Amino acid sequence: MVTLTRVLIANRGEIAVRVARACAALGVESVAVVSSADRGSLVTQLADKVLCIGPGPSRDSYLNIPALVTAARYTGSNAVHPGYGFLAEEPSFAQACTDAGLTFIGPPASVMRQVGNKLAARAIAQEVGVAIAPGSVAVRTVAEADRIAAEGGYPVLIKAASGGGGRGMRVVHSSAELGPQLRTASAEAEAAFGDGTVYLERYIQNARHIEVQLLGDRHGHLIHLWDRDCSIQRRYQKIIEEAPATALPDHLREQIVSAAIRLGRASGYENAGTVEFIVDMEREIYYFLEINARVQVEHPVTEAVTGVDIVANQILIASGDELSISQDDVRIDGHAIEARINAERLPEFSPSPGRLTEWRAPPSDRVRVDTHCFPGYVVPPYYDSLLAKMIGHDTDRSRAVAALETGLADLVVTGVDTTLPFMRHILGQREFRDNAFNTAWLPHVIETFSEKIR
Amino acid sequence: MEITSEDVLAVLRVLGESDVAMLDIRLGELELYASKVAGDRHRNGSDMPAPATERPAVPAVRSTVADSPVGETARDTATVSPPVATGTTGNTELIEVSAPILGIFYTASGPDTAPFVAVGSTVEEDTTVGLIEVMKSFSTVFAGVRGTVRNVVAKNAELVEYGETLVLIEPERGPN
Repeated sequence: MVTLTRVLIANRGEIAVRVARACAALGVESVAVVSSADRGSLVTQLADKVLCIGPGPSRDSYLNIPALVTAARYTGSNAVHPGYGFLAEEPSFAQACTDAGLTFIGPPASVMRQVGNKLAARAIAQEVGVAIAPGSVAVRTVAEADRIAAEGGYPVLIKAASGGGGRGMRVVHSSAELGPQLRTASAEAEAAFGDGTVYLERYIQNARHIEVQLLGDRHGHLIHLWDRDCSIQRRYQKIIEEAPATALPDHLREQIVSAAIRLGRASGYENAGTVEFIVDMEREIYYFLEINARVQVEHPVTEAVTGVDIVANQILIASGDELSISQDDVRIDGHAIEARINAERLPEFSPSPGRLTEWRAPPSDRVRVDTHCFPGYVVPPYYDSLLAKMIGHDTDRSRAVAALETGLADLVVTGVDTTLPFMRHILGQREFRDNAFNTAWLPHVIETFSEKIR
Repeated sequence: MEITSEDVLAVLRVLGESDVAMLDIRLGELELYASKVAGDRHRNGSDMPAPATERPAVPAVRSTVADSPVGETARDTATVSPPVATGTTGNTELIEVSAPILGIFYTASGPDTAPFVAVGSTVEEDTTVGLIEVMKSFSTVFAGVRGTVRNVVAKNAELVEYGETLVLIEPERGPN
């Protein structure tokens, strides 16, 4: 039973469209809030009500908590879906919604606060016997950091305690670099997150980024929807994601999903969330990285192989419903791969806003496209460059690659520069087809690709 | 070709900083007309007036809530909200005072007090025409121009969007 009757979507772009469609499918009304730069965006055609909340820059619109809460209350909304990015993992937003009598579609602010602090999350992991990457708690002095790094061996990774999404991370290769890098990282963390606390982590050379999708309700049910492999990253930003993580042996995958469930239980997790791990492929050891308290960009690959609608479940869970599926109901059907199409000029990956003179994504049974784009749409300069996610799904990995390749070849975009040619280049690489890569692979591909197009 | 509100603002900014009194840009089907001249009757199709006193392109909306993030937002917004000429009464264009932020619009400071302005009220640039509340934080909306209120478009105690028209003001005519 959906008790939520009207959901305000506190986001934009493809995820706002995704949430509006999920609401419509559940018979729930949706309210779109847009900046003045997004007045002509796709979500305004799908939502039941549209409000302009502020000018283009996000801090005056999509990050404006008082405006969002006011808009929700005065439109008669009884819930808020934060999407991803913007305020999705901001505990004060979840709290402001709750204080205003609105249901925040996500974990409670207290849980978000706990898992959002990486050091607190690492402490939970240690409590439930999940390994964290060899490293440290917060380091305060260079001497302390130097001792810890020497013990574990170089290279090491400096990370911001309050960071996320790859921001504030630095790889240090030698003791000589450590002092200056530590100071810069701490200053950057202070500027970006208001918290200069940093910690060290062993940098694993042959690593895979593996994550587990969780769904938990208010009645004590917590299930996983298996794993995703998101090892293809550029500057710690995911570019291609797939499910399941077939590069790993099954026994390791089972250990990882069980660790994710233990972490979710220990933190009292509710709604949809993701537990991220780094896997040392040489030694077959996994380490806990962080918990993302939101729906992720790459959720469609999990939806494709499990048939579970994650966004609809978020709304149902927030309504107070019990999960309609148990762990035993979760079955994996084939393989899915997602490619992110960004409005970026290659080879610099610099933003390329502007008008889409053409946008054509021919429908296909084997390809799903999540997008807010349409012919004539103007990509505004204020926000991230994601135009679309294309998800190829078939009975096995090589067929899923073929499905995605066909889909990418059929996608027509003109008017702005996109990463489409680069996506097709990656899919054509032997290492990709053989599923023989790691988190350090993409920079090499970028180099060869850049030479090719110059 | 289409223009965005940002494009218009950029043109207005350039116009405001220059010695040029009037701009008329035509690009295909699109025409953008902007003037610093008070009582300019170009839009009414009547004869072009002799340039009178210059009226700088002042923001129609200013807001002050010191030390509050909403106030910050409002002020920032106000700097890019020049008056927008709209509609006509007789030979004069009306100036649109628009909402600098989304919130609840109030025409008076309390339920038992008289409204800040009503149709026919004369206003100065710094006359308060209303308040906008966002979660207990109030921002003042100023007239931004000297003139006479011709319409209070927004309803008391109702939600207004960012950019929504609140009040229409007929600006005072410069000496001819």
